[in-house]
Amino acid sequence: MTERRTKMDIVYDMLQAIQDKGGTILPTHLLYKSNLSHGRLKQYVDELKIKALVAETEKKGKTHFLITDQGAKFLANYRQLREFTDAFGL
Amino acid sequence: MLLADNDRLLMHYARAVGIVVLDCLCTSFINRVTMGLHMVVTITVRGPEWFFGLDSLFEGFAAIALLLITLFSFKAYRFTKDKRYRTFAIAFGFMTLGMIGRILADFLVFIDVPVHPLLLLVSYAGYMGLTLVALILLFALTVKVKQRAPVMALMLVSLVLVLLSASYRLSFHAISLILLIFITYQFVKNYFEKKSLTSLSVCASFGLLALAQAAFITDILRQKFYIVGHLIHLLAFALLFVALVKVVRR
Repeated sequence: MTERRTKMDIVYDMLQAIQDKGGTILPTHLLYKSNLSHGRLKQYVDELKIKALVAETEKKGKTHFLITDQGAKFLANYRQLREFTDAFGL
Repeated sequence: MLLADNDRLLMHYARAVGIVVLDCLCTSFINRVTMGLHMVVTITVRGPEWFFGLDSLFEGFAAIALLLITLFSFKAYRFTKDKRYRTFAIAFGFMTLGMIGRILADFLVFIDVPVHPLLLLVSYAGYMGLTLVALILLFALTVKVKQRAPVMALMLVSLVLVLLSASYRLSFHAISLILLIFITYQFVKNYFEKKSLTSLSVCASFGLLALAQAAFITDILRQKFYIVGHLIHLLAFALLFVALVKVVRR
């Protein structure tokens, strides 16, 4: 049985999904990639926007989510942290 | 009052009359005996004389590696507010402080200057006490003990065992060896789960630390085991350092 994702894990998955798509992503793609319900995704996106980890942008009349510099920094830090946690089995 | 090598009876007498004695099994080449008011501290240093100073250097490297891990785990705690990282930072912080104490004591013996006996006592006892507490915290973290009571009990039992032992040094190394074997076993399990190079480095590093403790126990029989123990110790901390560098570079 896989472990339940923590809030940090979900944020990491969302930001990673945006970065994998070259820095911007459509809301539907993010919904699919982060494996969340629509309501939960909206909650998370709102929180990430408040913390300036994600920004909203318009491309060809469609809403896209954009990873900010702060978001990219968070991702790098969290990646280190995961490696550290895995190394010591914490 | 001078305490002769291997004179255990005299050492016991010294303890009985309230003299502070650190380590009763004397097979040393350098016995620093400092007399204060009713206080004699005997620091037993094993290994050949040419190695003194070098051991402080090795311990210095270990302290740097330990400090870096402490800082990284503290950063992880600030980032996540997860108590596991806080405990981890405390454990490695204690080990760092303990190692600094040992460096200080070994270095004072190396440069051979008269110092207050309490300074040597605090340095060596601090090293042993802090290292034991740190290893117990690490053990509790790796086996995922949630309650505080068993951890506190283990700390008290270990400290009492060391304090009441005929040889503080031997008891310290023996308890450390047992704890390190259990910690290494958890890290081996973790490696087979994660199969990453960093987890392998960590697991090998703690395995070597356990082996170093075994070498320090056997250095009573042959002096060269003191050097072997230090070399294994150095290799273990080098591996820990490599693991941290790999994590930070990611």
